[in-house]
Amino acid sequence: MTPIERHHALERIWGTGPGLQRLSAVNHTIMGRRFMIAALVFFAIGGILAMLIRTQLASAESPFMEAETYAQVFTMHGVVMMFLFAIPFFEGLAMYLLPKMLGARDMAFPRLSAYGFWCYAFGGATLVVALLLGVAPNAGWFLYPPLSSATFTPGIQSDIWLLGITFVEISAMSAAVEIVVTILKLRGAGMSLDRLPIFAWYMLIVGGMMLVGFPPLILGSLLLEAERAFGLPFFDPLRGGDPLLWQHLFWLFGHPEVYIIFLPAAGVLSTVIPVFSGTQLAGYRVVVAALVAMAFLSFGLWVHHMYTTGIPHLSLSFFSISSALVALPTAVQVFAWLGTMGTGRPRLSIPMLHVFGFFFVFVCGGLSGVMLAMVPFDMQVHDTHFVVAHLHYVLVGGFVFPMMAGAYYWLPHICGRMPVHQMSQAAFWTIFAGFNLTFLHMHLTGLLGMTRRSYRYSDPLWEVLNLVSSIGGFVTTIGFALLALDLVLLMRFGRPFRRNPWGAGTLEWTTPTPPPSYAFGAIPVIDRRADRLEVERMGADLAAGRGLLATPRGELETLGVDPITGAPRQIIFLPHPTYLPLWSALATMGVFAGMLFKVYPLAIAFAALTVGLLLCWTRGRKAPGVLDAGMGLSLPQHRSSDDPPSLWAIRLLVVADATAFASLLFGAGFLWMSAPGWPPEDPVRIGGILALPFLANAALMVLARGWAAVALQAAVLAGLAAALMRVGDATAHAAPATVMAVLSFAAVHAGIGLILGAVALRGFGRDGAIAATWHRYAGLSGMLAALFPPALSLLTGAPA
Amino acid sequence: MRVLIALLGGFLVWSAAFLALYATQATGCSLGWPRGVLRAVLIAMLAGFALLSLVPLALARRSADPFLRRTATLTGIAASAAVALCFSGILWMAPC
Repeated sequence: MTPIERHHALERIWGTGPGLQRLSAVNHTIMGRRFMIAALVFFAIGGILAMLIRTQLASAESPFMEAETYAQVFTMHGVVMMFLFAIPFFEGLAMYLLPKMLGARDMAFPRLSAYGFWCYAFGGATLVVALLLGVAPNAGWFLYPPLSSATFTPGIQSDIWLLGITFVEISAMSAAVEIVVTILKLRGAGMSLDRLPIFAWYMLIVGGMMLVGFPPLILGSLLLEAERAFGLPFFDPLRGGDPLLWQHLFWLFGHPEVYIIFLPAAGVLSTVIPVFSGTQLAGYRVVVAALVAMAFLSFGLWVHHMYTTGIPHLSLSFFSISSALVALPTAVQVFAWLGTMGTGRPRLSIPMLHVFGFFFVFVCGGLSGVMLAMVPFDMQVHDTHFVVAHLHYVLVGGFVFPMMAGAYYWLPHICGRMPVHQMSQAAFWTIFAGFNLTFLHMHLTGLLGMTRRSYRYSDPLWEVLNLVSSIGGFVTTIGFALLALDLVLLMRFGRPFRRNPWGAGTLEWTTPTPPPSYAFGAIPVIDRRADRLEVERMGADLAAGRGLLATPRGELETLGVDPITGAPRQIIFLPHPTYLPLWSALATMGVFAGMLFKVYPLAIAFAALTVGLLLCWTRGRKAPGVLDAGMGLSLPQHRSSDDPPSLWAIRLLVVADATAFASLLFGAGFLWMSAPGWPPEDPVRIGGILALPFLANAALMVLARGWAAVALQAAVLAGLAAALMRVGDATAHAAPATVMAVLSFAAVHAGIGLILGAVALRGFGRDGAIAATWHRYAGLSGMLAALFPPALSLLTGAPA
Repeated sequence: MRVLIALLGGFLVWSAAFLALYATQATGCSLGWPRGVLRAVLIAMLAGFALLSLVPLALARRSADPFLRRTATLTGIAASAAVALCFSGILWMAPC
């Protein structure tokens, strides 16, 4: 078979049809591009909102906006930039790049990518439409109660934040599972962990962080929505709740989020800098160790946003030292990049210009971060413009500049054309100057005492500084407009090239540019670290079919490997284009719309429809057994193998879910210890009914398969339903509300277990193992849930 | 798999220490435990976690893979130092 014949044969299998059939796309190249384009649209919207803010603050006593409009504008600026731009942009970049860097033909769960994209697009559009209708969230992007509670924000504005962001977070969670499973399982043959391209290490760590970082926010959103919709008082101090619980849950997500955003950008830097320095990354091993340290340390900082809330000094010291300590692994990476440039010969191409922009801006932001980690200093500048300046230096320096470097580096791969550098440098310097003009002065306005979210002021000195900031803001916008124009011109009129224009050593440059839907004509065999490859030779070899899975068989095939050694283990069949993700996302949107407008029967109906549609995804064909993989190798199809990607996915979901459950138990413990109005006057008395779910859950951990598992899940569900009816008035106090939340959590898990168990009864492929994993986890968490009410009664001094 | 545990184990111990010490300190303060008793409990726990943080280092030394062995050793050392530094306030600060 000639390379051209192979190309046509593979394109027939992997390609997406034209016209409306594009809506059925599940291919990673298409999904990655869609995520990035949508994120850039939201970035433009967020930028316009920033201009409105700077216009309002340009002069004292400005009549430009009313307080309510200003509140919506600054809230939406933060929401759009954090949730609708930064995270989805790197998710899109990861989806586009990872398979090509790893030597796979697609991500592990292409339909999940598509479902995540539609959830993101629909959720983001809901938020923007709300802004246009004047009912956007207005309580700041942290949505702190009591400001965001039903008493002080009675309309649907806070509900739009809570439900819209939770809807969008579905895409973040699905991307996290996708990214981790893809990196661990879908690689070229021989690509052991120590041969991973460094970008894949970064994304592996980021994926893991997302799995445990986002669940506390999702849980907090559900609890606050439950308070607003049904009156369950988790955050109401008059009824045993505590607004500080929201701050804990929010920042348990919010601080790691900064690193979740920074690390993909750092991965871009670790990829780009060695290429333009003509050498290899210095200290690859040390950088990986620093990544692991950062991933963990970043979770120990959440209270550094809460220094002023009256936490004892000893616990403040834990958070303060962790906050300072996390600067060390960050510095290790910065020095690795400097060392790489020092040992090589850096070329000042346009991506490197943005790298230098990163160094200057991010290091300034990091230093002010260390200042803010110190409790006494933080007490002085808490909630002032100093903090706003710091976070913009960190996020723009640590994400936007590296991503602009990445855009100039990989855009030739995406569109097959090279930059011409006419406008690129002017755009960079305009952005760089404008950014510093805007935010450098904000440190001063903050030190002078101007609080964030102020929409008017009267001090003449503040006015001078704010005017300079506003001028800087408009200069920055002009710079971004120039950049956008430059990128459009690059895509339209850039110079075509054949392969690997920068002289890189990573696998994505072995594909044709723009890349075909199947990425590789054959799956590569890797014999060294995957950023030191001979790209030109390998590109020609792979196109000629010298690799694995080179003969098209009519299925979308890619290689599954051992996570540690990279040895080939299975042939993974991926799904063809389908409209199911789109329909599933629309049904999911129906659930959120029903909840938003408080039409709960509609929400329940759409939830049933969503579950039904998701179950349609599991339809598959009988496992064909062992197949020829080429090069004399025979491998099982993934459904016949011991560790298919779906089994890894359910394990990761269990980790994420367990984080949410632990956060819920933490929340209950926090209220018991810290909230006013405890113990409750009317203790929670459920009685012995919980013995049934406890015992059924215990049995479930042993009998996790077949009809026994289904029957046990049904028993758990029945026992929990009976217990929930005995909880009493959950709106009266946070104690019964937390009991209701914990038991409802267990009931939902039993319900999911019932469905998974019923599906597994078909006795098909690895469904039994997947269901059993869920049953065991549900059994363990269900036992803890059944023990929770008596434990709470004991702690509050009342008999169960 | 052992080496993966070694790679992440040090900081898993740090995370466990963080949660346990923070929860114990908050609970002790909330329930009004005597200052000396609370400090003694926290010091005992810190000593336990400091010892536990050395286990991943020992695991890393046994790995055959040089890359993972050296990387896990680095993370292990960093994690042990983090345990010692982050919670040193227990020895000298007022518990509540």
